[in-house]
Amino acid sequence: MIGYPTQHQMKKPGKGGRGPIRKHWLAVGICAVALVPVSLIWINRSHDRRLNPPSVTPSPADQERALRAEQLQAAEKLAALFPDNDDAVYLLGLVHNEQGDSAGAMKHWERSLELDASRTDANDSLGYAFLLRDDYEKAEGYFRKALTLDPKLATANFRLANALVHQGKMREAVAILESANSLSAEGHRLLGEAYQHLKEYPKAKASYESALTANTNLAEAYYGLSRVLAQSGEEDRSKECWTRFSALKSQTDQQARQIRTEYDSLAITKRSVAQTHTDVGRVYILNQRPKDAEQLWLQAAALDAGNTLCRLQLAIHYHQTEQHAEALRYYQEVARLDPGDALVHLNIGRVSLKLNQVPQAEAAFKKVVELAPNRPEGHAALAQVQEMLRK
Amino acid sequence: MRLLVTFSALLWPLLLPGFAALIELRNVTKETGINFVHTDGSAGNRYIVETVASGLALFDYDNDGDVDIYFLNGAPLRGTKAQGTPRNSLWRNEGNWKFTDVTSASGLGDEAYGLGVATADYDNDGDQDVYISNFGPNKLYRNNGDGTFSDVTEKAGVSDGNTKIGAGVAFLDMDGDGDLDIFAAHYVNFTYDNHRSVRFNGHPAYAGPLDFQPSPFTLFRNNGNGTFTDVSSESGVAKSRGAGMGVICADFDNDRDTDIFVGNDKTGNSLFVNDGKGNFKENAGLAGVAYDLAGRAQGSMGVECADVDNDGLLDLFVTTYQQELATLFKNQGKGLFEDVTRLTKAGEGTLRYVKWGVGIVDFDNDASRDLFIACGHLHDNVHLFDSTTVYESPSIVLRNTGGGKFQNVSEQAGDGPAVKRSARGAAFDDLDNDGDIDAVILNSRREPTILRNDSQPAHWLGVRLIGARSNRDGIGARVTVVAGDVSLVDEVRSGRGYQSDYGRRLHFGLGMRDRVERVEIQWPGGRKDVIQEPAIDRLLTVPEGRE
Repeated sequence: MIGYPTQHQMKKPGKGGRGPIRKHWLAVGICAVALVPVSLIWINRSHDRRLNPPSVTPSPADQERALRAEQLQAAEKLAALFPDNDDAVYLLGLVHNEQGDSAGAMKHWERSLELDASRTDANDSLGYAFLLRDDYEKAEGYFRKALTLDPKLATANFRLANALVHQGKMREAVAILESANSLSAEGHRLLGEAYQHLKEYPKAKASYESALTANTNLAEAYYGLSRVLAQSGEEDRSKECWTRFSALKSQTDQQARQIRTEYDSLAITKRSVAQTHTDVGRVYILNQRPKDAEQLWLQAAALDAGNTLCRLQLAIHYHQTEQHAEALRYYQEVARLDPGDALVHLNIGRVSLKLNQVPQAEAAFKKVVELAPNRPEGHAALAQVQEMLRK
Repeated sequence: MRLLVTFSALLWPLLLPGFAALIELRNVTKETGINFVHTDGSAGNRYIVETVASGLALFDYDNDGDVDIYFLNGAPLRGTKAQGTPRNSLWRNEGNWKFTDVTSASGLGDEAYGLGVATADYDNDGDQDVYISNFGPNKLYRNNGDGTFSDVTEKAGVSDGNTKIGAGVAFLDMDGDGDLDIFAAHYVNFTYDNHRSVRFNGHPAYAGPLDFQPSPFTLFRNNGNGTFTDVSSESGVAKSRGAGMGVICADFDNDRDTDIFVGNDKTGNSLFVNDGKGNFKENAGLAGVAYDLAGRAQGSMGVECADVDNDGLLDLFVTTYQQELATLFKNQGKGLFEDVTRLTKAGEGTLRYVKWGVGIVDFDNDASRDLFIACGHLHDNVHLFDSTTVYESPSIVLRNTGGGKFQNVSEQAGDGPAVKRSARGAAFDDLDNDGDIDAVILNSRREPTILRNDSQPAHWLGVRLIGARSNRDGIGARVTVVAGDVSLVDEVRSGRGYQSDYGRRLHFGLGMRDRVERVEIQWPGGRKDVIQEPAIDRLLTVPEGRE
């Protein structure tokens, strides 16, 4: 399944990733009863129970709907404040899409292109939205624009080929995929599919084999190979590939059933809202509204204990505004979530020094040297702090 | 024969260069007098069984030459307070698009939760009996020959358990012994106790097939004395399981016996290949019909087969869930199929909708079979969490432009396809005996939609078989109509589409061809009959053994 460009792929705010929205059986989930309250407000209210009549705990469904409303409100407020900011408008589109309103999303993405026609992500998103709406010609147009803007954009490349295959334009799809700088396993598989349609079985077979070289567990490539071998009269080898496909498929089916059993839609909603708050905050900070940004990042951190980015943004914000204790706290939380980031440890060391926590700073700089032995900053900082300790 | 008087004059446009026949389907529901309203028995609990109800049958229950309509209905589920007692509903065709409710008089007003239906003369006594799959025990109704039916389920031994969610059912002669056996698919192992609730963005939604375990299928062998024996295990069909939906039985590998195809919801389709003696081997994967071309299990719903490219082989068409194309599997011979959906555009316009009832029907009688797809979402609140689709959808008509290539003509095919409903079963036959095929659609929670075919007339031939050594309906017989440059093939079958049944009379569009050289009938018992130069534009009745 192809995913939308992510909120983190917004042109200006930065990079990162968000999975696709699944409006399908696979997206149906069982939601466990969540005890975590919706927001800090809710926590505060629960403290007042002795004074006030006991309130009814919102159901997980109510919590989800409230969170989705909060998510949309945050993005709408941003777009209202900065109606000519293409990032803000694009982000509002992403939130509409996240909430299943792809029609609304498309409107905002089109507006973001009016504001800045060079947005690759908006072209890519619109193309994919048209692909899902069975409008392959329009999808093709947007993917082509995205690729003109960024010829190396792998998602647009793959999706363009997909749109062409949908239209029966197999030769064009082959040309697009063959001309790509590099292909993912799924890209090789799609190339195999296009060749299969063209009845060019040796090339189809080679493409499926390339897909399996790139990903030995790509079940669908075994399926394609099995079909091509069957068409070529190689029955025994076709059966071998079918057996391999069946085994992999059985595994993934079992995993899918397990995921559905454990699916916690409230937790997923919280993660999604936290991500939106993080991204909206990043647009605020770029537009000189640090207080608004800080508030949203704090909300994001409260909603999702695993969101690294909002914590990093908070740490940087507190660092820059010389709130060193807060900065240290959030850098440490980021380091706990992503222990391999040398730069974070460097900043832990620097902030520790500001707080006169020299031994902690030394430990942090040692970690930097361990993680990035070739970077001079770590060695210099460590030498400096060790000198301080000697004195 | 409403239009035959002016037939020759009306055919003139067909002779014009570049002429493309038009399909026109008119919504005549209100004219019919049919006031049946379907219920899925729901009360907000969102039990999965609600999503899959129901199918319908078009068959001539009283042998008067008109095709009648039998709608299945849901029943109150746990927690539902019913107004009245919902039941299945039989409507007698009085001609001229008028129908009379004969449910009570016929005894076919079954009150169980109806899902799938097949009709056939299982006791070879000259009239059509009815087998129904339910959420709960299935039912077999024997036609008494006087317009009434008797429930013979217990005596026949075909109730098929007590708690299964039924799905498509079919009559077939699995062993060529001249009587009809029964295949019954099942959906999933749902009970009130294992019911699951799910949400999208906080909105309640139905669980899916992967939230439950699939059920094995059932095969009953006809003992020839009004009773059946469950041969699911010994025949091999119980070895594989899936979330079964539509069922269709035909000779897919051209070895003169009847195979079974089951569309399974998200669990890979099943193809049971017959050895001629009623022993089956599941071979959908190697045949290439278990998954789409990309190896993905689809949310298969309705299934239908026909020769869409007039190459003498029966191709398969499967309707599917949202964000999946309805899929055409071309029969390449030697037991192999290939997904040619994109090359033929057989899935055009289908991606956004959940698709159910299906027909491969030559609406414009141009000797190329067209596609009809009935659509509608299962989530009545889908607008709250997905704007790419809708709960009530139009139907899709794909015109065969020749050679099995299709063009989406839904918006140019009259006001019938534009009717927006949440459809389930769809059935096709010539309801007014005017030489073209009409359509009936069962809509979830609504009245049905009845479509009259008002397409430009062209030549045609209907064929009705009467078996002697073979089963009386000729189910499993293959008919080939040779007319000039085309050879058109079809088989008589019972049970098809989305949990529905229709088309006991075979229909062949002939286009401008005003002569049929011969009609060949390959009977399931092995006999072959050939009718030379039959008259066209009429129904040809062929008893087995007539030359």
